Amino acid sequence: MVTFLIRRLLFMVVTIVFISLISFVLIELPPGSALDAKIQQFRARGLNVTSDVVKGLEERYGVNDPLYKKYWKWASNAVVGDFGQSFFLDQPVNTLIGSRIWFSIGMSTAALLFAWCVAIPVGVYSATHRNTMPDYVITVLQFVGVAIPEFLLAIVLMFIASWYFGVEVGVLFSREYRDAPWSLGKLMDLLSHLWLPVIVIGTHSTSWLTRVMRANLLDVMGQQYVQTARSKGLGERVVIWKHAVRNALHPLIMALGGTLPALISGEVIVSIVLNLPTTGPLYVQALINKDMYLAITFLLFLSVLLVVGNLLADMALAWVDPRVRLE
Amino acid sequence: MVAMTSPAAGTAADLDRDNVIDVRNLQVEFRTSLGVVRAVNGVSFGVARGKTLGIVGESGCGKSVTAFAIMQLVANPGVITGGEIVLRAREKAPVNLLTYDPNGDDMRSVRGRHVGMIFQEPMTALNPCYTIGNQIAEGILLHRTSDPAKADAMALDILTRVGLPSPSRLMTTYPHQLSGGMRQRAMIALALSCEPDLLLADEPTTALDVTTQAQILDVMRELQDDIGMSIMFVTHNLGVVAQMCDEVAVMYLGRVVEQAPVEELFDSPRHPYTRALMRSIPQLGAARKGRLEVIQGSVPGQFTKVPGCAFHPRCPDMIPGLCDVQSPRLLAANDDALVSCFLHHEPDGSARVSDVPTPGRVSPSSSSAIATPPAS
Amino acid sequence: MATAEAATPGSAAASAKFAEDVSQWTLMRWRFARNRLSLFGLVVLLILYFLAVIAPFLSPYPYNDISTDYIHVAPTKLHVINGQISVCPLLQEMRDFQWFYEEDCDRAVPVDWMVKGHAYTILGIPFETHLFGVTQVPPPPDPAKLKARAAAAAAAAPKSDDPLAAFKVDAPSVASGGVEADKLPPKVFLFGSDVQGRDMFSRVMEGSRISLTIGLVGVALSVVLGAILGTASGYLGGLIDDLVQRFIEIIQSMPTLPLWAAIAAALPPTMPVPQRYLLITIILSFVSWTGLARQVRGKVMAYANLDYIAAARLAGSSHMRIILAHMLPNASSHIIVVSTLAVPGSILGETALSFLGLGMLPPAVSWGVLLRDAQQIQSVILHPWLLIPAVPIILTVTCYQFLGDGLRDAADPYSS
Ligand SMILES: Nc1ncnc2c1ncn2[C@@H]1O[C@H](COP(=O)(O)OP(=O)(O)OP(=O)(O)O)[C@@H](O)[C@H]1O
Ligand SMILES: [Mg+2]
Repeated sequence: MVTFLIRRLLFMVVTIVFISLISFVLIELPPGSALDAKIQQFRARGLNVTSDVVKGLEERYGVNDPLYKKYWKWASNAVVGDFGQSFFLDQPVNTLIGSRIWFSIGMSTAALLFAWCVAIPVGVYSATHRNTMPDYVITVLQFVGVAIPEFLLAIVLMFIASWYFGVEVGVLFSREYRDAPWSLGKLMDLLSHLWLPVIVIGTHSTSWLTRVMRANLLDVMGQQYVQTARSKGLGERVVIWKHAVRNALHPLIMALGGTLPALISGEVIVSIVLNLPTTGPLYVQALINKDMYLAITFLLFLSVLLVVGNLLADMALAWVDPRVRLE
Repeated sequence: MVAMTSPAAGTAADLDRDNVIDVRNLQVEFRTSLGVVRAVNGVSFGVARGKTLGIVGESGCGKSVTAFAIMQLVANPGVITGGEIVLRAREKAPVNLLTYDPNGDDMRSVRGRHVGMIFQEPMTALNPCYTIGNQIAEGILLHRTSDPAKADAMALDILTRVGLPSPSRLMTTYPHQLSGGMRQRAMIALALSCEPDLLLADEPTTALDVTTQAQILDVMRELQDDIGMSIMFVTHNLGVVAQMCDEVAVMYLGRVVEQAPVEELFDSPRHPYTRALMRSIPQLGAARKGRLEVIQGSVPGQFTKVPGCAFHPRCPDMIPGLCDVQSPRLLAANDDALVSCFLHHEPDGSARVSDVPTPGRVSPSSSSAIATPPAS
Repeated sequence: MATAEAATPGSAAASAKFAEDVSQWTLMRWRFARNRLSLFGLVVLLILYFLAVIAPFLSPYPYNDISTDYIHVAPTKLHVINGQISVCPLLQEMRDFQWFYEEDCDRAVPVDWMVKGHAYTILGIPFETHLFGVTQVPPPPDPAKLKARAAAAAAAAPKSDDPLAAFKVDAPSVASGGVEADKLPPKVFLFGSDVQGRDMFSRVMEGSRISLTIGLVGVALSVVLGAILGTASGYLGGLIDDLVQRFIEIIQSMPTLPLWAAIAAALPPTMPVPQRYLLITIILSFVSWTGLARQVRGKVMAYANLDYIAAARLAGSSHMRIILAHMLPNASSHIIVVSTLAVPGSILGETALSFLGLGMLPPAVSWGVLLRDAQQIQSVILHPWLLIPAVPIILTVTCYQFLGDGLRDAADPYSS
């Protein structure tokens, strides 16, 4: 177990270094920089930016350094937790990302929980009522659930929420709690605003996991040990929930590796549509503005989230299935 | 829904004795999208109390389906469409199990408690997610006690009795950590944990090597005497039948064609199919160069319905105009043997006097009709 | 034993495999035909692609035809007048900075079939005919009616305590079809019009050409990439396998959409449409080849141990020949299935990127680009028809899933 953890952590570090390299190159490669945009901005405001000033700025930000030098500069600072300065917003990246990444994590986790809590019972129902009308309906809904783009669902649900329920969308807190310190009331308030984005983010994964759950349960129900359980005289409910579902969870957890990127992607785009104060909107803004340190750091953090999620999934697998040994 | 008796069926109950279970004219169909498969088509037999009945027959003749039908656990899309399964358990009034709802409490109280079952594949019969102890205690908690500590003690006891080494450690072991033989012992322990009246053993040793097989058979016999249960022992292996069983029922295409005490069946098989089956086992000391005989022809497709006796297309002694028109019934051949063949019974049920080939005798006509295997 | 295998000539092994192959494909088709959902998916997709090919024939107007007289017009109602499908010219009026339209059915004109309109080409062949359109010019609006409308509008106007009141009441001259529009045939907007008065129907039709193909081309690219790297990885094994697998793992541990967005953001916004299209497909395949490569590798590793491959190898076939003649044909059914299942992801990817303004950009039209207009909730509430491009997206992706599922079941009935 310990060796497994150490090995996985080492691999994680390597992965993250690679990811940072790839994202650095990706984001740095295109011509033009945030500095150009900034200078344009100054010029547009009628400020006289001389070429000397430009040179000075370029030197200060190391714009014309070779790529490896820039990467090294950035990476050595990043290791100690300093991710640089946002060109565009004139703030340290740390401050900008700080709370947003937590909201992103929170929202993705909530969406994941939502997806599991819905997918398992629905998948079980669908599998145990195979080839009945409800099963057909669930099956078609799954397909549509995967087919509907998240941003569209966000728009439609937002429309319904604001139109029919009068819910304030696009915020995480009501006005009275926005700057209040954390309290139970604030938490409840957060939850009451969170359900909409969570449903939207989770729909895709829910549909997918329902499908996985149904297929696996059908598979498991044909296994000998399910008949063994029945031959003991156990009730159908126990047979399904204790003996069959437990075994069908294995592929479901394996599917987690596939749903996590979808969840994070969904979180990004839904936050943009709903204009939530999470990573999404700022990330895309940073990309468009070529605010590279900010963008890289976001991409890196989202990837780390994914890598950690995968590690947790592997550990969950070992917990659910005694045949899996962590070595 | 369930035809209680069919006048056409002579049954094992004709042998007047104390049976734990009597299966009469059992019929099971699989309604697949490609057509209806009559997997069990009027099976009748009985298992005497405290004795072992072997069930033999070619692959696909419906042995497993019969066993599952007794448990009322026929897998989808199978349905029991007719017949009668009378269980005469201790501490329970005789009852036709088919009058119970397959999903009802009555049927569940029979499973595990009065009838236990062991499966062919020890590798897949135990749930990989739970410890052996947990899985055995689960049944005990259901039928014998509600005290978890007591249930664990009973589980430990039965694990000891099936001869597993260090049973207390096994309680907390997962199935994947055991060998096939150990798993099968654990499975036997599971099936016997509630001391059932009848054990359905569906090829319990097929997947094991010969030594392990012998050990498992020993364990089963010992526990049979201890508990005083009966066993329905499904197998392909006639050697195992000779070792284990008191009686044998031979099945062909969803029907019992012959039921007789072991020695009688081996010494003087009555049904042409049984005879062919006997000839197909290698004999120790028989001439090396002689080829093993194979039963002529092959099993008809599962969707085809053969008119008359199901075996007649392959039968060397087929009586034209009779065997391919009428179905023979399973009728008493003597005090403790039944056979379903027009060579032994007239269509009206009376014993056929003339023309019965001497049991065990290989008639010239039949020997020529039995094909030798093609040269490989 | 080895001699026996070596004695099997490669051609015999190949022909045996051919026989097996034929039955495998026939079986696949047979199983597929029994799956009604996937047949449905296939038929709908074929129709959609056909419609995309003949899109300009179906579109009554050029997709980028701006018309200030028809800003945010709701989908046109079709009336049956004198046994003919007809449309009514619109009277427009501005209230609260918002155009309002009213049908004037006294002047209804019929919809014509096979009308001559703007020129276009399909597969290089020039055409001018369009399936439908309106060619008759209605009589000018009745002045009395316009006056009555203006009066009613003035009466309904809020009293002067509102400082904006002057703007909210329209000048009577505006309460017509619009200065230009009165002299032309009325327009048919089956799906309504957008903020620049462009016909949404024509735009959805035009958008289908990019949206339906970009995912497909992207997946085709990743199939090539995935098949090559997957085969190499599985067949050669060793260090190459290790390197490819680690690389795949790293790409797969990056969140898809943010990664796509990061790459797409690098494209200069001024790029010409075809070039951008090509680059977007490359971006989409950058992630999806990994899954394919893994699948192909698994298959190849399984096949590598089969007897006839061993036989071919012993008979002295080159690596290339073994891969091309034996392994890829065998893995092909699998590759088809996996790539069909990958198409929805690519289509949705393009849609999401375009929606974010990082994928296809105007003046190019794709369904994602069209949905960008639906980004503002206020706009959607006022003009719900802006959401119509979502319908073909959902339909397409659903049908691809039906198809992929059916293909998978047909190719491998025992997989879950
Ligand atoms: N789930 C099913 N669906 C359709 N047909 C089935 C199903 N299960 C069993 N059958 C049919 O029932 C027949 C009897 O099967 P069964 O498993 O009882 O054979 P068996 O005698 O136990 O064979 P074996 O010795 O190989 O175990 C088979 O011919 C098969 O066609
Ligand atoms: Mg069987």
